Amino acid sequence: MKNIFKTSMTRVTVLLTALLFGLAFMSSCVDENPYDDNEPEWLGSSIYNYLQSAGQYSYYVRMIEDLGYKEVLSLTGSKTLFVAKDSAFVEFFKSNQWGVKTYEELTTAQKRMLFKFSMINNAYILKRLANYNSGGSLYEGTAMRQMTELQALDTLPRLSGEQLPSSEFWNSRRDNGMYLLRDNTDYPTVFFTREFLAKYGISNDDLEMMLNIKNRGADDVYIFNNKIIERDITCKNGYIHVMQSVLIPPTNMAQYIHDNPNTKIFSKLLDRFCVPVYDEAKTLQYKSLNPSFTDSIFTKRYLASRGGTTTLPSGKTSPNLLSFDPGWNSYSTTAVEADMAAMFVPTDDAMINYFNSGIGAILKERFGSWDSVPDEIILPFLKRHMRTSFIESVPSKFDKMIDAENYSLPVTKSHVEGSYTAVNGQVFVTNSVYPPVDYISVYSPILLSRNSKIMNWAINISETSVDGTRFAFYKLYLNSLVSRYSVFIPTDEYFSSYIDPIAYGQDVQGMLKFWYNDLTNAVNATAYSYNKTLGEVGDSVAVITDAGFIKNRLWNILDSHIVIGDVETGKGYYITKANDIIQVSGAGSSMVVKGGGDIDFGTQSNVVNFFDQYNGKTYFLDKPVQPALKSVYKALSDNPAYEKFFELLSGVPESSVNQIFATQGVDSRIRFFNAFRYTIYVPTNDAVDQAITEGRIKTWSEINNISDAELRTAEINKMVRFLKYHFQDNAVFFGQSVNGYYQSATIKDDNSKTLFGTARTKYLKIGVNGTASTMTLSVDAKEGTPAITANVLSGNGYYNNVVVKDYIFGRLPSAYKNVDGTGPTTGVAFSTSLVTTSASAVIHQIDKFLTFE
Amino acid sequence: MKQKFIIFIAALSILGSTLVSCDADKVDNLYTFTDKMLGQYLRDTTEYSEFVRLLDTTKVIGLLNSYGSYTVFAPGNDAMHEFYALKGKNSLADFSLDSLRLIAYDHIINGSTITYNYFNDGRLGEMTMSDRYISISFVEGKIGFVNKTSEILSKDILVHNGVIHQISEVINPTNSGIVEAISKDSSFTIFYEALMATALAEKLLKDKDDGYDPDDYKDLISTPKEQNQWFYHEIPTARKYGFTVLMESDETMRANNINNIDDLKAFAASVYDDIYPEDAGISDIKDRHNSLNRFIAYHIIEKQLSYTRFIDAYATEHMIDNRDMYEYIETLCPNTLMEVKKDRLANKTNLINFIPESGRVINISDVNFDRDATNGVYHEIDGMLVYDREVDNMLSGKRLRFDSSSFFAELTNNNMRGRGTFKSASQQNLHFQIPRGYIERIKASEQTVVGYLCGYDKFQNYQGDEIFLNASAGKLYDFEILTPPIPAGTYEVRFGYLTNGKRGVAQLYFDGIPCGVPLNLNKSATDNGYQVPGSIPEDPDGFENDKIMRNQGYMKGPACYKVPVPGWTSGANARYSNSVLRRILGTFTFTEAGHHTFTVKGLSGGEFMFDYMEFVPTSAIETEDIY
Repeated sequence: MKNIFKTSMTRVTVLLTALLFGLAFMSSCVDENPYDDNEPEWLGSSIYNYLQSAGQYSYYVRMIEDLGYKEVLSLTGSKTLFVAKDSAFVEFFKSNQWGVKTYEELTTAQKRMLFKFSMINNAYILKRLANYNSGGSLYEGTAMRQMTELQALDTLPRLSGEQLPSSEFWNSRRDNGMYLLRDNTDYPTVFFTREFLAKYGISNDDLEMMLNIKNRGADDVYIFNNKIIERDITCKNGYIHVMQSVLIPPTNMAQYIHDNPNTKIFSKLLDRFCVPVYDEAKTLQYKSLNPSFTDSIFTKRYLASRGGTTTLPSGKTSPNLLSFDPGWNSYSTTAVEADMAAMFVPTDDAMINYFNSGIGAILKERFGSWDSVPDEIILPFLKRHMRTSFIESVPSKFDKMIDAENYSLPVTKSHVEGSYTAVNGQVFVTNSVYPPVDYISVYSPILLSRNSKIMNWAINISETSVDGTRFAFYKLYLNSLVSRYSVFIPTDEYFSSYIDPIAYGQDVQGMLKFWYNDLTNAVNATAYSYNKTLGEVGDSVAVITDAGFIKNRLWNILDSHIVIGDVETGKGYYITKANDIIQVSGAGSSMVVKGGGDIDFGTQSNVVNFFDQYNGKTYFLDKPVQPALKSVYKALSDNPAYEKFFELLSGVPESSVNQIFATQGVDSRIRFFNAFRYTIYVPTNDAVDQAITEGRIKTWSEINNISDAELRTAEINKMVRFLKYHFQDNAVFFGQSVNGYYQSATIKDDNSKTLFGTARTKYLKIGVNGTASTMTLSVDAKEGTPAITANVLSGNGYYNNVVVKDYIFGRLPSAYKNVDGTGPTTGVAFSTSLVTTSASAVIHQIDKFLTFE
Repeated sequence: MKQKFIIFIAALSILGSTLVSCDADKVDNLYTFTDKMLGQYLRDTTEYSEFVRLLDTTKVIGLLNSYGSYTVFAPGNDAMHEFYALKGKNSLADFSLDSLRLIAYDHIINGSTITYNYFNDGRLGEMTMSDRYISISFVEGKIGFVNKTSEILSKDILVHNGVIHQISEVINPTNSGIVEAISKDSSFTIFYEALMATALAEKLLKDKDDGYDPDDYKDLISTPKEQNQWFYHEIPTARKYGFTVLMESDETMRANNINNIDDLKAFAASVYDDIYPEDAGISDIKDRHNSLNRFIAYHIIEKQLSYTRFIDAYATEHMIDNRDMYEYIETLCPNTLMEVKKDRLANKTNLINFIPESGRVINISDVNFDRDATNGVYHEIDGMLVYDREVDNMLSGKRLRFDSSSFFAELTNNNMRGRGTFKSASQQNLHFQIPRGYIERIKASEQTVVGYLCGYDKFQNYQGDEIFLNASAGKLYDFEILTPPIPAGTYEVRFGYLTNGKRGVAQLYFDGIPCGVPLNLNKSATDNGYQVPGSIPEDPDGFENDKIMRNQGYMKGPACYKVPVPGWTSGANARYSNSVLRRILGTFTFTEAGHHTFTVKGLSGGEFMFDYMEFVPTSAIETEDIY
């Protein structure tokens, strides 16, 4: 037979149609056309006739006849058949997975599997086998799968109760068993052409490792690992390709993993996520073919975000979804033809080893056995082993593989103990386990602990970007393996003493107890009255379930409990993600942590357990760290040692835009503070007096008495610039080693040269030099000015390292009702209150005023 | 039909009035319109009968009678006959069919109707069907010239499917490569001798990547032009290489006491042995670290830069037109940059390595420029171009801002960068989908799709364009970019981008070092502390807000560009836009001049927009302006 056509189905169909028209309507013509009465010699006979007459396909022909396909393959259709010669069948009968020794022993179902899996319902020469159409476009050379004629109902087993998966979803059928389709989609075949392999850089070594294909010739085409030995036999109704062996349909990945005696543990974990789904369409279809059938047909479907189902038998949406349904025969991401999936399945030995050593031991310690690991925790483990693209998972690309969270998957070729090409993907059986980042990062103890549900819930709250992408930022953040964190987690039983900052600024203060509601799988808060004067907690006054409120407070707490870097360096003070200042002493399980509020109240959080993880340490606490609730305003106004400086700060005339304080937060906040941490240097009262005496500044009364508005404004601005020069970006602590220049809050407004080289429109700097027992400040005065320094005071009667915090809330506290529902009639519900942002500061008292003049 | 015609003319008029105006000495803009197809018009005009014969013979005439958009530079019969004589032929019949097809293609731009309004001094943005550039120049009293010598006799003959400009000479581009073209030019014999002697000529032989086939990547096109969206996808049609050589003429050499290659060697040694003393002993002039080799290499750019593509082509409507512009171009001299300045106040352009303190500058000749070759272009320069200490000090002491597209020679050499601004009122924007591996300096994961978005008037982008990387749904972008060489020093490194709430969460790395914790790039500028300058009474210029943002690791956009057509974003300039941010990646010390890597790993779905990158010496931060 000659290969005439350069295209496949279309041209054959068109040609045949044209020939038929020619034969039907042109017979009356008397011309010289040789095809009027005779088909072209090269066209050959029908598929059936060819196979029958060739004399070496008798088994295959018998299957065609037995299954009633003689007429179909004699007359109509555009088919592609991958047939086996009698000699191949002889080999098949010597050894096969069904134990069938003769043709006669083949059941009808087996014949259907052999025959229909070898037939594609289109005519393809091999050169075009890797082409497919999708969405109206032709994709050339990029196909590796085509749907066969083998349908789900061609293999309908009835499974006994013992054969059903062990999860609770199957219990109702445990006694009687059920008709269960492994999948209700048709079977595709998998093939490898030169075009496809070249396009995606899949090498012969890859094929050898995956399919044991050796010495592949450049033009060889394989159906699975079965070589096509004769190609493109052209018949009237399609093409025949001859296989080296009988083509036996493989199963799908889920079934292979289930059947493999070495992957039982993984399979059992996987099967937790499969459910029986009544298949009405298949039941009716089967009944129409078999009227005596009265039972129901179910399909085994996996709970998955791609393929499968998302619905539990209860009708509820499953919270836990696999990446894809591993039993889905016709798995696809864009088109069935384009790709398939892959899975890395650890052997039972690998699973056991992992569970008994290293990071896996934490799982064992926590849960005892694989079976006891909860679904939500095992899910990321399974997903890490599931790959949506075969093309991106072949051995030559192992080193480039990343998981769904962009973390590399450390698979090497030496890990692979076995490989199986299923109809929907490639299974690599490995001697290694690939735990998800969730298991090794600082997030891991939070995920795996019994009593960190509250923080785990908060960490897993998703946000949605403008394009609809959902992402749980805190989880991504804590899972960053290139960063290093110290994470403090108040465990669930200790999450009962969070003083709410907004309530703290109200008439009725409140303390919140957060708790995990197992009924709703969400965190709620119970509010208790709290007397900030006495520090006493009263009765519960409200239960808050508002998700926005809970999220807002828990994320604020999370931010206050995360430090980037280590906290065991002995520095004493550290800055949290929320810009809070915390004091840390001790190390490991002896560590004590105090927030600004703790320092004020004389409380502390003790570390009860800690975990040394890949990207830092996770410390479990017996109490939330209480951030400062005292504002800068409050701290300065309450302390007589700050009196003179506070008078200056609070004396800025209301008419001026350059105010120091703004009414916000618990009481007032520094107007020019933002979400950052600062240092405030407060001159002693004597030093302030000295500044006035020296004429560096005027008193407010002197300024207010200036009648010339322009001059008065100039003096106000001069005073404000003087005051703001005592506010510095970045928090520095007395007792720490410091040596650097920090920006103040006073902008440089001229082109004069200064000691620290500050340019116009930039901010004048403060030089800070600190040791264990001293801290000296130098100023950014004009060049040529004698060096001026000031010292942070320490010892009795002086105040340094005073930690304060300025909040910004969604509204002023007075705009909300109190936590117990009382309060202004115009106030909105407390549960709608939001903490927007905050700034922290440390206050040091200094012996001199700071001036850049 | 009549109504359509009126609308068409009106549209043309409006378009004409909104486009960049032509040089003042151009003649008035008057259109001639005929409703014929281009091929038919030519056939019906006896003056073009010989040109039509060419089009008939090559079967190109059919194309010109089909719907589409064409620009044809049509030589009259006299011009055709002169061309035959020039080539020593008597008629068309004496040429091979391949030659004739090339000649025909030289005169046709397929895909664009380029009226005279679009002509500016220099190369047109679109290439001819023979993949060559058309260069336009103007002379007072004349309409203009094509490729310097072919006068435009009649312009803007509008036909149904395009426009015709009648020219006086057949377009006859050189078929020489850049080295051969230089060899034929007697003005540069000393330079040419050195070019050959240093073996750097061997670096200039590449033409295009024959292994690249755009058909292999057509599945990257998800939005074809026919969908009539605001943008459309295209795949680069080729992967061409390109070169630019800047040369001192023999006369300029002699003015600097350089009369032969030995003199040039001595001159080069005096410059480069000073700045690279460790290499002073290298006498092999083929060694890339030899002084003569460095001298010649510093004149070579692996991008095809016609006169307007050094910097003028990037002065889009986005750029604030009273702010000077700077372009930093990598040369073949290892790890060196060349600065090109566009001085707005002085109305000068292509000022190479201008040193403000001394006034030293190198200029491209205004008469001997845009000398064409098949794989490049060369220009004469008016002085000795060197990378000496003065230039090194200048470059390492100032902010170096690179448009992201300037990183990648492929975008320039394949006519993607520098195509001006697409107008939202009348055009779909052109987005190139860049096949994986096409750009040598981008390593992207298989999941990442790299795009180059041409300038668009609704973008608030530096120079109008952007590099755009994304991953298909459910996948994550992951890529690494190699920067141009940066002089040694300690720099604050930043990248600029436009926020739109869908940039994803990502981990950024510079030179493999994580730049802090994962960033939520979905956040708007306002979420990162941005306040519009002037909106806070006590901070009228936004300087206090600048400080606050820097504390958070961000900066406002620079005030040197804007969005020409506000809508998607707004603001008088990027500083006044709450959509534009600069992320400070960190402070890094480079112990020696060299390339660096910027790596981004997406952690959540999204798209990554990369507009520009800044390297600011820490010593320059204090005095850095808002532009």
